Amino acid sequence: MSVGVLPILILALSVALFTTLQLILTRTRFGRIVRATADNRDVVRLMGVNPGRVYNVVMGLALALASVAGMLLAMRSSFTPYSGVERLLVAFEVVVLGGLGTFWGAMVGGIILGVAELVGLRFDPNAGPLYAHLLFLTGVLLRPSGLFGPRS
Amino acid sequence: MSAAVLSLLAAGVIAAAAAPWLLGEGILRLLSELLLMLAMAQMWNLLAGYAGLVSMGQQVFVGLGAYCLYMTSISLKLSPYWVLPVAPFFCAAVAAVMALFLFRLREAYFAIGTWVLSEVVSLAISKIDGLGASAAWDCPPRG
Repeated sequence: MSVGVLPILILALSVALFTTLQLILTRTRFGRIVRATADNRDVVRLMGVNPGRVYNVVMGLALALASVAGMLLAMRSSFTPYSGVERLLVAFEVVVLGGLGTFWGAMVGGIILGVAELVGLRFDPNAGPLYAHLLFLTGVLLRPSGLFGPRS
Repeated sequence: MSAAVLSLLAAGVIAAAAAPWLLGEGILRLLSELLLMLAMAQMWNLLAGYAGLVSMGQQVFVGLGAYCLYMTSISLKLSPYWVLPVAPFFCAAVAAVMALFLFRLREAYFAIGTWVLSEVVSLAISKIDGLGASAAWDCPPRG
């Protein structure tokens, strides 16, 4: 069994981006401002932060990350104008399954759903993401606020 | 309701009832397309606008309604007009079952949950040969 260079590069790059984002959000002044703005934008405004500016930067950062995903997708497989929607739902599922706004949640959720889809396709080749969806629904039913979200 | 609104409503109903004799096939088709959009917009406004339930999976009920109409019309060998009332009840029953667990979810979780559920239903139907798998159905036969 051999492993391609590109998949390894993609894995390394996404883990690096993941970790960097997490470090920015938890360890820097900017990250603290972002988390505070998410919690309460009025209080943040009293502290001399312009929430609109924070949203601009966060939006830019998010779109930059999305463009990296698009570049990696283009390098790895064919794509069409409709390729976005197919991945979008999975991305939502990953975050929701893990719990919104959690680091380990997004990481573990992504791995769980990815493996579930591949295993499902192995046993039932025309199932598409059916089994990943079913796993997602089961997970969300058992933990309505995500695997790593606040316990209700 | 005031008399003006009532008479306007009555005029609308009469105009809609008379439309098949007054308008051509093309306009009728366009009109039903428009009314379909209006019905769906109303559905979503009721859910998200009034009740605050942002659902991304309402397409599942549009699809289930269409499949239900077709399948009952075919299996009972009746005109689709006679089995029209079945689809809403069928969809309501499905919705009641879905609500049992979807209403455990909130906000974004609810939105994504409904979307995923509708994807599951469409993937499941595309795998059932008796429902035509992923083939397209035509207008139900007239009986």
